[in-house]
Amino acid sequence: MTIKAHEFDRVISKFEFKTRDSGDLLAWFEYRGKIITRTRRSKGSGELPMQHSIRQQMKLNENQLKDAIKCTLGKKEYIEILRQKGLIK
Amino acid sequence: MVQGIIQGTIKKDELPGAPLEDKADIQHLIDDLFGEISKTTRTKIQKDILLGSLRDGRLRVIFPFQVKFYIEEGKIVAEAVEINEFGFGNNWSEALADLQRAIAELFITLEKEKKRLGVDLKRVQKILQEKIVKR
Repeated sequence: MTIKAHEFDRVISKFEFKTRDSGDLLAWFEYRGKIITRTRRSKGSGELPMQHSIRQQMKLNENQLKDAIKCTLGKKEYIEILRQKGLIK
Repeated sequence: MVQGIIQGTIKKDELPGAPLEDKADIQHLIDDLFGEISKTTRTKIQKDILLGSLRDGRLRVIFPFQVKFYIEEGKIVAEAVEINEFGFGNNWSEALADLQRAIAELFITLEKEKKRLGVDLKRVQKILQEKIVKR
C-alpha cells in the first residue's frame, strides 16, 4: 500500500498530532503532556515513498494504518494501540 | 508456520499462546514480514553502512549509526534502525543526506523536549546521546 500526502495529513489531524514545519512536516503525538510518537513527511502532494517507515514511527501495522486512512480508526483507538504496546500508561 | 505466513493463511486470532500485551507486537512483526514479501513494494538492498557524520556543524558523531537501505515506491530509503529514523531520495546520497538532516533535527528536538518524552522517545534520546555530542 502507499500513503498520499493528503491521507497522511488527514490521519495526523484526526489523531491530533501537533505539527511543525522544518523543511519537512514534523508531527508528534502527545498524551497527558508526554510526547509519545513522532513522524514526518516530505513536502509535496504526491504519494509518500516512506509509508513503511511512517507507520513504524506511528507504531501502527499496515491494517491499522489502512483503517486510520479510511477513518474507521480514530484517536481513541490509537491511544488504545499505544497502550497495548506499553508506550502509554 | 513459515509456509503459513508466506501463504497469508495465518490469522491474528490464531497466534499461539501469545499473552494479550504481546499480540500487537507480534501482529506488527507478522505485518512487517508480509510487507517484505507481498504487501508493499519495499525491497531491502543488501548494503548496510555505518554513518559517522551528520554534515551538521553543531553536532559530532562519536559512535556511528548502522544504516540499512531499501527501495520503496521507486525511491531509495535510508533507515537508521536503532532509532527508527529514515531519509529518502532519488539516489543513495540524497537518501543519506535526508537521513543525516532528520537525525540532527531529531537530536535537537529531543534535547529541547527531554522532560516530556514518553518511553520510546526516551530510549531514542538515550541512543542519540551515546552517539552524538555537541561541538
